[in-house]
Amino acid sequence: MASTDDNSLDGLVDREYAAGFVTDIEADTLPPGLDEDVIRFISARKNEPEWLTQWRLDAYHGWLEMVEPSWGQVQFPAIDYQSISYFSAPSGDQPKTLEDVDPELLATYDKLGIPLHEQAALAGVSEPQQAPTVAVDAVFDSVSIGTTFKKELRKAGVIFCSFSEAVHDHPDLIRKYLGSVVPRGDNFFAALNSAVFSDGSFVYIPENTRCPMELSTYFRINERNTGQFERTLIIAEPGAYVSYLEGCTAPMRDENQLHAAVVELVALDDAEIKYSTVQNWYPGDEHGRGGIYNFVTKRGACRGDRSKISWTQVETGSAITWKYPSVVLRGDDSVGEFYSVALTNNRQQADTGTKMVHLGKNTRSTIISKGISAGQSSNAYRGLVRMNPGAAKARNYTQCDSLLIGEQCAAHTFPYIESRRRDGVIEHEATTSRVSDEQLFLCRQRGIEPEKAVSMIVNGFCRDVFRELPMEFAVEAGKLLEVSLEGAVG
Amino acid sequence: MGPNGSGKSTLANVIAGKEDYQIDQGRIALEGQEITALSPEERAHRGLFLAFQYPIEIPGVSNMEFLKAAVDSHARATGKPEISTVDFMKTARSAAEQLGLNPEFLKRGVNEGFSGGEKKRNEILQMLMLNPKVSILDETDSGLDIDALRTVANGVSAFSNETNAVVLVTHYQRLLDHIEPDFVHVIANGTIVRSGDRSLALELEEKGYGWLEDP
Amino acid sequence: MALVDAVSVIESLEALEPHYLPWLDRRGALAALKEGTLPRPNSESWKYTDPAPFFDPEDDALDVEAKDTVSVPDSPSGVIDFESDEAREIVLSHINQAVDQRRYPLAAISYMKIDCGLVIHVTPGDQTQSIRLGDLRGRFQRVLVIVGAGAHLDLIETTTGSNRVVECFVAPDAELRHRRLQPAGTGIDYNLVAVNIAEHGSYRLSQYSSGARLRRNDVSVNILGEGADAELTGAWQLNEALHLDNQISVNHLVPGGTSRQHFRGNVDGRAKSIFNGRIYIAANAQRTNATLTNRNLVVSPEAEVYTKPELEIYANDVVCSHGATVGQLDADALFYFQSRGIEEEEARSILMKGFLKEVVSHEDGRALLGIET
Repeated sequence: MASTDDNSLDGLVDREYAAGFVTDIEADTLPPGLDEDVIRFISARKNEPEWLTQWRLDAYHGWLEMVEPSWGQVQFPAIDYQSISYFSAPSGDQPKTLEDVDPELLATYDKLGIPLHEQAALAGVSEPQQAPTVAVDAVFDSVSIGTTFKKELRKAGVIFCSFSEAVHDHPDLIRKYLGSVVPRGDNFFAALNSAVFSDGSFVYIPENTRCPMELSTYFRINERNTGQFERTLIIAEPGAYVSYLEGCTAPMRDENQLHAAVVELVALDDAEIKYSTVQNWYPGDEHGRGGIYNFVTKRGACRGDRSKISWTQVETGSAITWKYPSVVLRGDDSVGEFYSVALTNNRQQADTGTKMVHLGKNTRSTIISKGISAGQSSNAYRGLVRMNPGAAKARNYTQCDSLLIGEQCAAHTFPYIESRRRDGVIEHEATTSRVSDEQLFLCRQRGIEPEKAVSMIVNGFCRDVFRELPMEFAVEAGKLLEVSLEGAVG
Repeated sequence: MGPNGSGKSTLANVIAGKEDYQIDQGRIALEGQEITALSPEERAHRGLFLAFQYPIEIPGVSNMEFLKAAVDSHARATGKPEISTVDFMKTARSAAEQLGLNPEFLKRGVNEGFSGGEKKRNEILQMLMLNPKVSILDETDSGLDIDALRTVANGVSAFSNETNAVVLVTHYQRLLDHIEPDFVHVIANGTIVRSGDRSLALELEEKGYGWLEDP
Repeated sequence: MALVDAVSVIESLEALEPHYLPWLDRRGALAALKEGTLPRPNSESWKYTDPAPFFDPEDDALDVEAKDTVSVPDSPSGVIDFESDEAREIVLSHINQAVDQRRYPLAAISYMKIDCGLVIHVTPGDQTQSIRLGDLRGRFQRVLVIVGAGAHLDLIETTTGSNRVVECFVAPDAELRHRRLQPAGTGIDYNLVAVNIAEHGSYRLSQYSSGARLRRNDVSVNILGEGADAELTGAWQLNEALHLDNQISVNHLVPGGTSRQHFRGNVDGRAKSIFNGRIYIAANAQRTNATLTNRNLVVSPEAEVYTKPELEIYANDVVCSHGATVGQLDADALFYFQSRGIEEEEARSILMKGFLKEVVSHEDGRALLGIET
């Protein structure tokens, strides 16, 4: 894995950080603050090639010129970007045994039906002598699962590794596609991410290959502490297929408050990428204190003809969710889909939706969004469907529904529809409703407890979206809703 | 029985524990046990069942899922083992057929797209599956055609035995052509004004409710 | 898009010495403008329409003939000019009571520069009134429409190229039927209709529009009493390179109100249609029932349609839905016509007219839209 450039790079790094700063490299975590030195440090720690370091720096300079956006329906106190530490080594702060893990966390894993050894992996428990990566395999009880999995993928020619590994092992691919779907200057948080991204996933599916299994970030848990600025890139060559699962149903507590990830998907001719997310970042307490800010830029480029990208998301966590997984439908006959359930409780805020941009001919997009607001939360769907002049015979169908639980929550819908095509067809519908007293009484008269009744009704409400999730996720998503709605029924 | 507005449905809903009502006075006891302060689901676990006059729809939740949740919940509350999914589905299908309902409907949302008659029969299906001690059927006969009425009546008669009780709330007499009641109580203005047996029902059929107001 | 020079707009307003109604207190309007409601780049409400021409009008005063286009019926109700003595009390007690000046800066400007005003007042119980409102002498017009308790008014308005604010007050159990005709124009038109509806009052708007060089309609309806009802219907036929921007907001501020919005349009030539229909439900506005639909037929390759049906809901016991479609004529329907020997062009024309006719019942509306039978 070492490249011939390494020695000269090390030399460069040493020279750059001669006095004072070198001693800081010994620490696992950088002190808070962001400047060029921090970026060079991050890049050096990962042994990145010079072009990538420069790429980051250019992004950083662009970011300095940008203004934090304020148009969302979300409100949050100003973020002090100089008070965040932008690098934290993965091996710090991990619990040694299950006894060291927060019992509340374990209880939740239990509720979600996750077996014990997997709980340990999720909590990042490590054997004292071994490095985390090895421990995860062992704890998963199947160095066998680990190896079979890797063997199968290798046979198929599929590359699934960390983004950092990919920079070294597949530099051409990274160079070709990085920033091609979400350019560095696209928006404030994407620019920040491009400057300081820590790690993420890299997936490459070769031509006419159907990835033999669902790829999941469960296997990437050891990288959790650096998940603050994740960068993911998935490339599907012509005729390829992959289903990728991101996220974890267990509440991911993290002292880092801001999470600004970037995910780029590229689908070439006849390729299909299915990207599913179940996200349950720590939502803050019932008074709205603490909690993660999840500001993500996710975009898929349907570059090839007859290509297809589907985003399926179940968002129940985070204090603030601000994300619009989008698809640019450039290839003729390409298809974009967005299925979403966003649940907010207590004082959470969500402003989420999608952008479907139709450029090619005969393109199609489907948007199904279900928002559930409980407590005193605020839940907004914001979407864009745009048909450009070249998008002959484009079709869109959108269904946005909101379910309100409790008396103080809010639900909003802001769908932007822009048509510059005579032969396009756009259909948009939205409804707002609540869990009615009659429905609740019917369930209770049949002996079903009120909380179970509400979660059943809410699950029914989300049926059209859950159907799109890979099976493992669908079951957990249902349970996750139950857990997240706790206390929502007065 | 009783004329419109006499309070029959209100009584049924209050017994089942609907929270819109506040009891100023009096108590409700089931088999000698006071249930006045219990929640609706607790009353259900004790064996109380209400077939609604206007059964509501719950889209996206299949009839099967809803029924199973109810059956499981009863099992848990009474300390009985949960029935297996396979056995449950067999029982549900045969009960559906008995009531003239296409078992395919079990896959549809609760009451979603059901005709009035289908909704009422769905209520009886739930009664059969939950096997309650006391069932209150609120105007179950309204909106049913002749055949459906007979099917429901047969279902109810077959269900009724020495260990359970069924209270039929109605203001028509025609259901009683198919079911022989043991008692008939007549409510007017929120009070029981007359009690008797089947012959009382026949008298009402002949003379109407106005007759009751005569001293 | 050009930017609005907020500083110079405010400076010129501060320097204003009003001759018309000098007794009107204009400070509130200036304060609202200063609090920053003027359009900035990427302002939501001016996303698709260039605001600059609306805020920096040319200085040459339009030579508007004083036309006698307001009929004064004989009845206890009347039409009173702002400048007359009888108007003063009504004006002071009603003006700006329905307008949110922070949200509608052009209304604030119109208030500052007002040069023509009318009160249309229907006494309580009077069910007979029908009033036509056409051109008025002035560039910044304000019309106050006050329908007393239990009364009924048919208001037939033709909008003109100007800045006009119509404020309507519908008293309890009153009915206001507002028919609005907007013929094609060549200028920069701004119209705001702001309506307050009291309990069991009802407001019906039927708006039939062509476009103008730039035409902007703001409609703001406030549901202020239980049982109040609003029904807004609109149809437009946009041809050539004309422009029409409809920004509608129905605000349910109390419980128990109902509203329906239904807007449809054909967009042809190089025309541009913008529609934003908002349903706003305040936290205490329980048991609200509100719907909105917007349907757009795109006829030509260069036509542009922008639509955004919005829901902003803070109460939970509500029934609310909206729908929007953008599309073209049904191919099957076209073929059916053709199979009966009707040429494609004629078939298209009949179908397009039919699309609008479904929501336009008034003859003058049909005439304006070119869809008479």
